[in-house]
Amino acid sequence: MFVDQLINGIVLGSIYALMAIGYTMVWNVLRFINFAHGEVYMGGAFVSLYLLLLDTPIWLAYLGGVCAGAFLGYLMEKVVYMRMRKAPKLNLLIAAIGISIVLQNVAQYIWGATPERLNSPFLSKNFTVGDMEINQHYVFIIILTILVMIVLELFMNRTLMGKAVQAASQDINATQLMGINANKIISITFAIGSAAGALAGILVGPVFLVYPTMGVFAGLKGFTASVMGGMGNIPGAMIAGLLLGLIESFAAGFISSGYRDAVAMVILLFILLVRPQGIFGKIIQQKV
Amino acid sequence: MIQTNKTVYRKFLLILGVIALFFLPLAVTNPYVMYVINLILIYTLLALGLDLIVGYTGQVSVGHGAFFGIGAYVAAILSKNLGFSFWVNLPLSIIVTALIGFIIGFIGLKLIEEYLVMATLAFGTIIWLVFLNWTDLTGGPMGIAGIASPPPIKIGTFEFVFFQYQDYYPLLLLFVFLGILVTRLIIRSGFGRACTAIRDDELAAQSMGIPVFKTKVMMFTISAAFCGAAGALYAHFLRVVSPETFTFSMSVTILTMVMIGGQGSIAGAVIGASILTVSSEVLRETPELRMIIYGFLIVVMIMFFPKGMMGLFQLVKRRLQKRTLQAAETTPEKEGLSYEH
Repeated sequence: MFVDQLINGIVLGSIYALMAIGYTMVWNVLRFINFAHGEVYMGGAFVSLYLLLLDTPIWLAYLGGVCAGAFLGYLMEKVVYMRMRKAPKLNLLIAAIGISIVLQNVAQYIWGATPERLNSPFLSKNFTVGDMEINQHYVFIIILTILVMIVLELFMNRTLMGKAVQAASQDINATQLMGINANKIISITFAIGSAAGALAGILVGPVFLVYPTMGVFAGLKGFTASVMGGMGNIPGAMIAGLLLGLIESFAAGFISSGYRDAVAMVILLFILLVRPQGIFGKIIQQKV
Repeated sequence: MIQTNKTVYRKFLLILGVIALFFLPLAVTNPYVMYVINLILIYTLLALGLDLIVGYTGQVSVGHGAFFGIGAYVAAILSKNLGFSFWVNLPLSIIVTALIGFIIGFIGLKLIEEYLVMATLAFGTIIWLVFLNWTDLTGGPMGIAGIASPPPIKIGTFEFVFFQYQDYYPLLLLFVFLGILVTRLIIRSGFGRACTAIRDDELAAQSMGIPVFKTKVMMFTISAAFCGAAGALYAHFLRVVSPETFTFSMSVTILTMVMIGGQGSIAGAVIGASILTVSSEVLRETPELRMIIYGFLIVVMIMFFPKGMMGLFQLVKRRLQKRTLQAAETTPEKEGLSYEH
């Protein structure tokens, strides 16, 4: 029982960590919360589902979903957010929510509202360790998440592009003065964050099913994780995601399942009050 | 002289218009249209309330749907379990939401703007989950049905009943005018001006001796109370409340009304509530495309009219004034005359 909860927690946590990447990266360069990120998660899962219906090989369908998610994020930025660079943050927030309404309902229009199961090559197989069984798909989720984290860390720290993204996170105007194309960096940020979000949706599809509003709570929790980790802190967001998944999984055992989703929200409020800079964040003095 | 005559004339027209509005049910016989108009009035009250904190004080909340819900549920529970009438429930709803608003404001307003958004979002979601799961009190996903409509009022031989949409309308209209009046009184008071000062520059306001935190919390409380009143009116109007009304998207709808109408403007709140309610109802003609178009409208409006409809009106007004000025300048004789006198 304990080990089951632990594994569930890590799986959930991996998903939240993947979601948190998108929120944190966009926050870093634009200082706003992309409320439509949950819809990228949903969109990626739906595209994979659709590709599987067309008899695409499973790995290609997954890849297609991730690419579609990245493209969706890129498109949002290019079509809407880019034209609102000078607008107040509140307007961006409303625009993001508008986009999320559109995407949810487009998905419902095309694919309908009934939850469907995304296929996975591993779902029906179990690993047997001692006298307990672990679903192979869960292991697949955990391994893939770790892989994504390593690749992202390498990208951010070892490549020129990654360093440009980091520079843009510190000061986008100064970055521009240094001859880096800020719009390109922002596009890349959106694409990478959205790819991670879409991957989360695809990985969750075989377990929690795929439906138009699947991104709402996943988005809120990914966002909670990014706040927990310290808004803008990528490694922090990943660890906080895992932590959130574990807390939720264990808390769900003690309280009724209806309030399960409230756990993350209570944590969010608590973190904001006690440690708004996040668990791993540094205190930044607000400049006058 | 001419100026004052003009303003008196305008005031007279305004009062006439207000009185005429109360007789609207005589002209509108379609109950569905009446229903939509009533919805607009409730949303106007909500938008007015949210505008107090967003438009006039510059603090963003995406949790006001929860205050609306708390107001509605308090009225529903009191009516259903204790048999209280609307006239008792309304003040109680307002008191309860104001109290919760005070607590949330006290906690949340210490945070910077972006974090306040997150905190109110978390609060709204928690409240919604409570509505959904506290089945003993709130009826769970089914909600509470069979809330009594307000008892009739007898004045002399006249009896005002509030059973049908057209009967309920004058009551709502009265509360909307009350809301507008209260809003005007607040924003023109020293307290209201302190709020605008905080919105424009918090630090400058603080150095002028305005108790920033206290002022913000007070305004947040008032703003929540508005939503509580709207909630009680809503519960007794529809006579049923259910949790799916008071989700995050309700908070967003109210905020969008404020934004699309134009922040910090009473007319803006009315316009925003009307545009969004009407477009949402008209789009029922194409149910499968309804929410797609609705979301699309929100994005387009916020992209191209960032200051809302009121901002657009002001822009048009300024353009027209400029044009008349330019026209005056191009005709030299007139110009000379106007400068001499």
